[in-house]
Amino acid sequence: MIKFNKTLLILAVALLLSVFVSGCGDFKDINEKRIVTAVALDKKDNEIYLYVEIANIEGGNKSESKSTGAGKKYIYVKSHGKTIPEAREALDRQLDKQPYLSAVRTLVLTEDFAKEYLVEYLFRLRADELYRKKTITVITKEDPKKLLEISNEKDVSVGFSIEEMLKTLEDAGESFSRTTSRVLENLSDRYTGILLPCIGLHDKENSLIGYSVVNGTTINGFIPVEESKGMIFIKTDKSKFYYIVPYKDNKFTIEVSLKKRKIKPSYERGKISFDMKYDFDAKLMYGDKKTPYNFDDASNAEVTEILTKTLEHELLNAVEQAQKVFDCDYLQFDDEFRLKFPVEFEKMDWQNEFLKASFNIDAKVKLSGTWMMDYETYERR
Amino acid sequence: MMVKFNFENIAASLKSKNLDFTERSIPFRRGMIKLFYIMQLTDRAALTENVVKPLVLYCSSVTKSISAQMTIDGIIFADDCRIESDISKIEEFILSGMVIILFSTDKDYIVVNFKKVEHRPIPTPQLNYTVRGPQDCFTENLYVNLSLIRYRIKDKNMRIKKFEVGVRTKSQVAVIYIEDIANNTVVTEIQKRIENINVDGIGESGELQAFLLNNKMQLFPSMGLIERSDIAFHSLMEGKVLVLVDGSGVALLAPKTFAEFFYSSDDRYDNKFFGLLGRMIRYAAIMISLTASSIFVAITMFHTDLLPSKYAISLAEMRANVPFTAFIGAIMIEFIMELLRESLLRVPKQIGPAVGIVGAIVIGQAAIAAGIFSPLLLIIASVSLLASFAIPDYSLVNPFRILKFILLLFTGALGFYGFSIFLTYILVELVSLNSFGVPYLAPWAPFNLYDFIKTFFNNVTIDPKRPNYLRTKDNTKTKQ
Repeated sequence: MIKFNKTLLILAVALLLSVFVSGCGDFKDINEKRIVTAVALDKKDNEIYLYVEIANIEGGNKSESKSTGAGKKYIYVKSHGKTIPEAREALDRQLDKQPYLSAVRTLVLTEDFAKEYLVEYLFRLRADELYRKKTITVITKEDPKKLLEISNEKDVSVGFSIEEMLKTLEDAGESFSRTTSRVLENLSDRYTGILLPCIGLHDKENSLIGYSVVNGTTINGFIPVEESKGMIFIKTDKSKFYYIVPYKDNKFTIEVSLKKRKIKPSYERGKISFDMKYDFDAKLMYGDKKTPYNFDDASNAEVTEILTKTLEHELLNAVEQAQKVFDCDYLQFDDEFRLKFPVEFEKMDWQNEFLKASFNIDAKVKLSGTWMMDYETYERR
Repeated sequence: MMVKFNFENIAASLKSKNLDFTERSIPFRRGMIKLFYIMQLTDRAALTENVVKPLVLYCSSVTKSISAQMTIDGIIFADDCRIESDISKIEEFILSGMVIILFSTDKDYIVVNFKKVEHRPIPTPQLNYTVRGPQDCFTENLYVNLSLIRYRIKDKNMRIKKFEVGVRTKSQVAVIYIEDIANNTVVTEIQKRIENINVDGIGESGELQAFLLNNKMQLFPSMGLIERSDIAFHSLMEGKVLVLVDGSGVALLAPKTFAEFFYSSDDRYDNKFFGLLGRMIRYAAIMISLTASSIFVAITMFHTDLLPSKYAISLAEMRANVPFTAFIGAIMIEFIMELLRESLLRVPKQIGPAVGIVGAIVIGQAAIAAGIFSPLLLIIASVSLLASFAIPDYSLVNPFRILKFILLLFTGALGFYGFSIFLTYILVELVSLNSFGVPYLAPWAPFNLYDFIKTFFNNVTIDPKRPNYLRTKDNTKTKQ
């Protein structure tokens, strides 16, 4: 039996502690790091360009080599190389302090870069345990330098402004955002179809211009934001849009929000079909004329009918676009199907089977005209 | 002959020892009466009026010899007097403030209690401050303190057992409890420990407390400090034991659990929901006081990824020009805070505010302007200091003041890992303690639902039972 004496025990504890301490000794205070708020990657002329936006915590007292915007709250540093690691090494050589990647808000990838390096870069990000995994991932058709310069002129952060814009749209039910962890999760699926928000410049402001379709490992297409309503109703749980419905001599503005959605897959005799039932709440907000009139039940039913057809058409278009234009299930119907038919799903080639699937769309709209009460009151007088 | 011989020898002996005794002789035809006492401890007016005057009058008019018994029976006027015959105790009686009357014609002598010690009037609380509770506090005089307790408790079951502690000081110690409520084991244990004290003398209850501890190396207090008589009354009613020391204005209370250090008498007097809020704040305060600066160090140095980006940037901006690491900064500022606290305790009251202002300006303005500390660290250290003042019993705060520095060292070395290790150690230590047999973390560990609820609510209307963990003889407060 081993007999521990006190000295030996103290020595063991001291040694053990020293191991821990030596492991933690290289930890640096937050102010001893360069806090990165956005990372942008571009590919031009066979070179990879890496841009990082850094919070200028010294308030302009120090200036970065090869950086612009010294004295601003955020500065950016650019580097390039033949490969991603080379670009990163070049960046490290330019920074006076270790980059701190746990605060990255937005990852901006140009279309050219994403077509070739999307998967590689995201896997690189996954391997770096200090890289923030909840970073919002977006695609851009613009030169990242332009995005950074414009933000720098206004002394705002590209990382924060893009993230906040997408979050605001998401909260309003008009769009969605994708974090790197979510994209990585999609990439791990057998069949990959992803939609990533696409950012562009609109009157010198960062703006959501549409959605880039990722099929497998590359960018496959683009859906403009104006044509995305049906797709948003399928992709998000709390979506809300405004529709203008012409009726008689008026054009009514109606707020339509998704109340309930049920997608039921079926698989009979090798044929996949989906029953999509949508319940919408609609509010008649206002008309374009001040003429008083009585919006009766019959009118309500007619407007509801018009709205229902519009919504069904948009939903069907969104599905057909995925099947026929982009040949890719970026609307993620595979999740619904796999849950109900796991064995069949494992045996089939979903990529092809999805293209043959049929969709029955049934939309129900409940239109309320409470907002029109002022018209009615006016008529009574 | 024998008596006369003794009388003269004794009188000569008492005079020769330079014990500062006052002597008053009253002759009568067949002998002499001598009174010995200490002037500073005696009510001289009462002595003159009730003993000296009657004796002088009697001696001048009577030719018979006078005995001690005759004197008590028909001459002097004193409520507390008795006849003694053991001459070896005479010195002891005089030193304890009694008046001794020796007779040349009697071997017995009289001991009269005309003790009068100068003492402060009933003070207002300095330790157990209250907003709406009674303000009468214990003084350094044991009898005044006993009168304050007796005034509140008219129970025939209240017991006051007196002990003499200290071979030289012979300080009076009173153990007070309600016989049909208090746990016998606790009472016996306290009495046993007091009886076993072997020391030259004790001057204050703190010294006595040191002898009553379970473990002489114990960091956490296992006895409460009581200054106000209403708290003493409530504690006795709960079934606790009170220890008063003559010469000390602070009474000791046992047993006392960790949770009870967070109770304030205002919880009982105010609305129960205010009491709940107060207790929640106090529980949070001790955690803030212990951990605030360590959490700052852990987050700033090791686990910055816990912070949302905007906070990380703000924190980095605040620390941008600070030359020290967060750990060194935290140690320095905590040390300065302790220095301030210690200085303010020692300086005269008149210049206390000035020291406070100097401290605040030096630390608050100059240190930040000079870039020695980040403003956030100063805020955290100030909140930590402020939180430590929220605990009603300061004796619990002191261990946490020490532990705060050790926790900082662990966190500075190992981040949240070290933080967790040391917090676990503190918890283990707390769980393993007991206060005179009552688990220190009761009623959290061992858990008791009724008592647990009482750690948050304390109000006479919702509190019909005494705490279970005290194992009192009578568990019910409300009698039907």
